[in-house]
Amino acid sequence: MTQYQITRAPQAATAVDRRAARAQIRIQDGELNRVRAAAISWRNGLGALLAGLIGFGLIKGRTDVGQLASPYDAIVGGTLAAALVAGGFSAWLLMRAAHGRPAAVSTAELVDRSTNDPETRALQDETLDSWLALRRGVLLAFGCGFLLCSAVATTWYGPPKDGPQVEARWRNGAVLCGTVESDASGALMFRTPAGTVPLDLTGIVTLRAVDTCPTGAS
Amino acid sequence: MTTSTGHQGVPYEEITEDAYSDAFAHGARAIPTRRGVLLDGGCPRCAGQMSYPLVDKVFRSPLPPGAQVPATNSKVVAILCTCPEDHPARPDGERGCGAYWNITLSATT
Repeated sequence: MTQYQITRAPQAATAVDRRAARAQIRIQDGELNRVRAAAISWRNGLGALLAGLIGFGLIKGRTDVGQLASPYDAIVGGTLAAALVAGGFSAWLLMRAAHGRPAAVSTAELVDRSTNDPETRALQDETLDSWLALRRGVLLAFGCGFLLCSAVATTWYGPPKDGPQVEARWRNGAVLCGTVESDASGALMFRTPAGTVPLDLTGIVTLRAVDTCPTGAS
Repeated sequence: MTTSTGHQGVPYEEITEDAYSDAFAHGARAIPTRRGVLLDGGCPRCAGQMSYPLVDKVFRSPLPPGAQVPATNSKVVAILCTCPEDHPARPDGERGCGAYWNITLSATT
C-alpha cells in the first residue's frame, strides 16, 4: 500500500482552497445513506424487471424444455441454472448494499482506535463495501436477465425434439428405423436417415415404437 | 477555554495563517485507507485532535456548485479543521474551529 508523507505547503491557503476542503468533507457526509437509498431503488426496479421477464416468458411459446431436441434442452437447462445462480447472488448483493450485512461484527473490527476519528473510517469502509455490492449486484441482475432471455428464446425457437420413431424388423434380418409417413397417393413410406422407402408390411416380423433409433439401424 | 486534552474552545472563525501548514505537518500522520488517505493530526489553531478523510471518488452525488474535490495524488491539498469539539459561534452544518490550511502530500513508495 502506498505510504504518504505530509510536509509544509509551498503556498498559503486561500478562500478557494477552503471551499475545496469543505466540499471534500461535505460530499462524504451521508454517503452511506445515499448508497443505501440507491440500492433500495435498484433492488425494487430490478426485482420488478426480472419478475416481468419471467412473466413474459410464460405468455406464449413453448414452455416445456423437454420438447426441445438434444443438446438444446441441456443448454437451456444449464442457462436457467446459471440464471438462477446469478439472480441469487444479485439478490444477496443488492440486499447487502441496501441493508448491510446480516451479521454481528466485532467492535474491534469496526473501531480503529489508532485514528482520531474511528467513526469516519468505519463509515468509509462500510460505504465502499455497500457501493461495491450494489455495483456487482446490478451487473449480476442484468446478467441474470440476459440468461433468462437466452433460455426463453432457445426454448421458443430451438429445434423441436423428434417424435417417436418406429423400428421395423424384417424376416430376412433387415432392420429399419425412422418415421412412418404417407405419400401423395396414400401409400405408407418409411423415412429414415438413409432415405425414404415404401413400407412393405408383408415381410415384417416386428414393428415397435422407440424413442430414438439405435445407431446403425436405418 | 482549554480542556484536559489540550483543546482550546476558540470561537469559530474561517481563518488561515502561514504557520498552520508547518504546524499540522509536524505532528500529523497520513494513514492509507481503502479509498484514499486519512490525515490524522491536531488542528494548529484549536489543538483539537482531528481526522480529515481524503478520497478520490465518492458515490454519485450532486456537488455544491463550484466545488472541487482534491485528488489524493495531488501534491498540495487543502484541509480544514474537523475536530469534534464545540466552538462558540459555529454556524449549523460546519465543523471544527474554522481554520483551514494547505499541506503537501507526497507518496513515498
